[in-house]
Amino acid sequence: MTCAFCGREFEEDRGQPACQQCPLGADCRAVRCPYCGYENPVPPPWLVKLRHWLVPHDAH
Amino acid sequence: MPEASRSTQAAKSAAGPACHAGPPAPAAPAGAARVALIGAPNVGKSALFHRLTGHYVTVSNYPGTSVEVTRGSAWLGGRPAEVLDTPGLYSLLAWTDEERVARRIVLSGEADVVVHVVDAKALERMLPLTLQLLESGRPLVVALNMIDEASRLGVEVDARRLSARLGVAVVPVVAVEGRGVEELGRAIAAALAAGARPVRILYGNSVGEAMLSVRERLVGVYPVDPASFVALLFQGDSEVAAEVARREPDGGSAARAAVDRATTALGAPASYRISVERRRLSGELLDGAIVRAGANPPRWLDVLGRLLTRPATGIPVLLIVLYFGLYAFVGQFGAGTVVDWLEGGFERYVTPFFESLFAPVPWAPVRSLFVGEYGLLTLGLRYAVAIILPIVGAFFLFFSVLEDSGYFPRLALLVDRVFKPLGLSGRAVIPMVLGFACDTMATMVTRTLETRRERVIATLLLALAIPCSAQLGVILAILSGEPLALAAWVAAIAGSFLLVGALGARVLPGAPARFHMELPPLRRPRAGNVFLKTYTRMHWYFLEVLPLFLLASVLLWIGNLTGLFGVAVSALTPVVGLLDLPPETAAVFLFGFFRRDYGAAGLFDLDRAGSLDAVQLAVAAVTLTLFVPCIAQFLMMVRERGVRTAVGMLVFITPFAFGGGLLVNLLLRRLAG
Repeated sequence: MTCAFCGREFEEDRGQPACQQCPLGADCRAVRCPYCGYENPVPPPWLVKLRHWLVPHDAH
Repeated sequence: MPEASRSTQAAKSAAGPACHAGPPAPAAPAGAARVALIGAPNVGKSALFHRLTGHYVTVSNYPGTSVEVTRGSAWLGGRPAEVLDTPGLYSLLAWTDEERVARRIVLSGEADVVVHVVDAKALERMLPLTLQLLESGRPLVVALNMIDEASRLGVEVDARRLSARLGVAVVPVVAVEGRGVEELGRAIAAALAAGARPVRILYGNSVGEAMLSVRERLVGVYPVDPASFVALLFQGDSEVAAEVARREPDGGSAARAAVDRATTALGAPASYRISVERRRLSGELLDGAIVRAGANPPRWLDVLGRLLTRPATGIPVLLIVLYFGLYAFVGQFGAGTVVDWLEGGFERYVTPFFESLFAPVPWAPVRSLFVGEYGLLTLGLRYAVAIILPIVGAFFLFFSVLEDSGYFPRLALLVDRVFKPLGLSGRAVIPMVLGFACDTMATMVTRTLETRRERVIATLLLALAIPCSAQLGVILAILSGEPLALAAWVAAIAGSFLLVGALGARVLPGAPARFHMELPPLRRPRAGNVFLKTYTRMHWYFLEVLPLFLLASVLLWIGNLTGLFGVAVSALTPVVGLLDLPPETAAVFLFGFFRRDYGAAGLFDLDRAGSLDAVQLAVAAVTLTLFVPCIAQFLMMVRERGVRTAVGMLVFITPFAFGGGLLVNLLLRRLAG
């Protein structure tokens, strides 16, 4: 995925899941960029698939 | 095709044991040249590696690290070669362990030839690293990968012209198909034969002179041209600074002093100036060497991107963005129009429906749990759905538009100078911006800041003066009709931020933090991206908020039944009385400590009920914003900064918030006459 802040690319599983360390234990679906620390929202897979189906050439 | 060997090569070197499961590989022949493939992630390095080396490769950890480097052997220009597929690298200024390993392979001089693999579609972003590699003086070849995709997108690159300008071979390739790989092999062999040669990059705008003044101080022995180390010294890279200290007879003190002098002379963050120069030089190198048919990025975006980082133009643009985005869209539309509509729906249909549903329940306490003053359905559900959700929804939409446009990194550069006297750098924009979405999450992100001093100051400012999205939306909505009250709130919060930050920077010892960032391009936000991000954030927020709002309602119901809530409110009533606020405000402050947004919703209710005049609204808004963070944020503060620091912050913030409210009350009452 591409970090929304610094624009660098990283594998989703290389980023640190942000919500693991939250005292609320909430599932915020955010992944921290390993380069700049920005927390990027990770859309649910079904929504990403739907988007690719609706707009096949639109890069995420 | 180059003369690719199908043999394997053992990783029985200092690199440690091979991790690749498979037959043992023979060692690389003696005298094999080492070729390193360097480049950003996803530019096709691995595909090219496999084309050059064949299928049999070894994967081993780079010495002293857990980062894997893939090696394979090849015959290039009639001689054996070991090819290294390195981790992705955007710039020699490395942030991650993987990047540090790729950089070490370049700066250690262990590669006899460096192949910079670039994505032909995004050449503008890749060329600054080419300049850095060129600066190292090692033999270099540029592999212009994905040239077919670039062509399909209307991007035509004149490789010959670019090669002449760079002074190194630029070979168009399509790694996945093997096209151009044979030519690349020949170019690598030619670069090997030519050997290392010094290259001087002609930086302009005083940057070149500044770098030269430091370069002249380096008298030690370096495996590559020390010019590579100079730029990294300016960029505050601690690993490189340690390396320079090790190699210089004076421990690097002359170089450090020269960097400090040159930085002062430049008058702007040197790392930023170097980065800008590299982009400018890249643009010049590509001028006429790249043609984008029908796909030219709009020039006005480049111009706008530059204007956003300059204080004279960037600050007015920031104020316009805040006015239309936060005040008009989030405050007036989200927290006004949409909330009115949803609240109306709750009042007319939802609440009467639930009340009629529970009317037959004979036990008043049970009935009040669901539809009473603090009922699960009439308070918890209504707060979450009718008040907070539309506000945070509007905020997240605005936030996602800015995020997708690439505005935030420019904001970081813009405020870097403002943040310096507060002991922060532009990098602190990341937690500050995230704090408007959720202060708890943002507190965790402060760990990415460079120094402890910066982390402590940022944590304190987040707890004190950064309202979360719901709080901000509600406050903008209730103060939108009262310009004086709104101005007082803005002045109080901005003043507190600057004052406490400046005090923190004076009290806490430590060197000022440095900030460097490669700017991604400014772009038009894509509707699809904006929708996905807004939806994801709203989904998370709603799932988090609803259960907590319902839990708060249950706690309030228990507190009400047992009388404990009344005791707590009574204890706070004299304090809010000092601020000339009605006793009901005490309950809002208690809500606010449970969750900031719950307190904000309570304030919204009080405003709708007409319980507060303009001055009281401003005082309540100021105090509630500055007031102690919610429980979740406090727990995060304890985790990140330790119990003593977190409790210390709490002890400071509580009287500061009430003192701030008191001061605003006195000033506004005097102004009101």
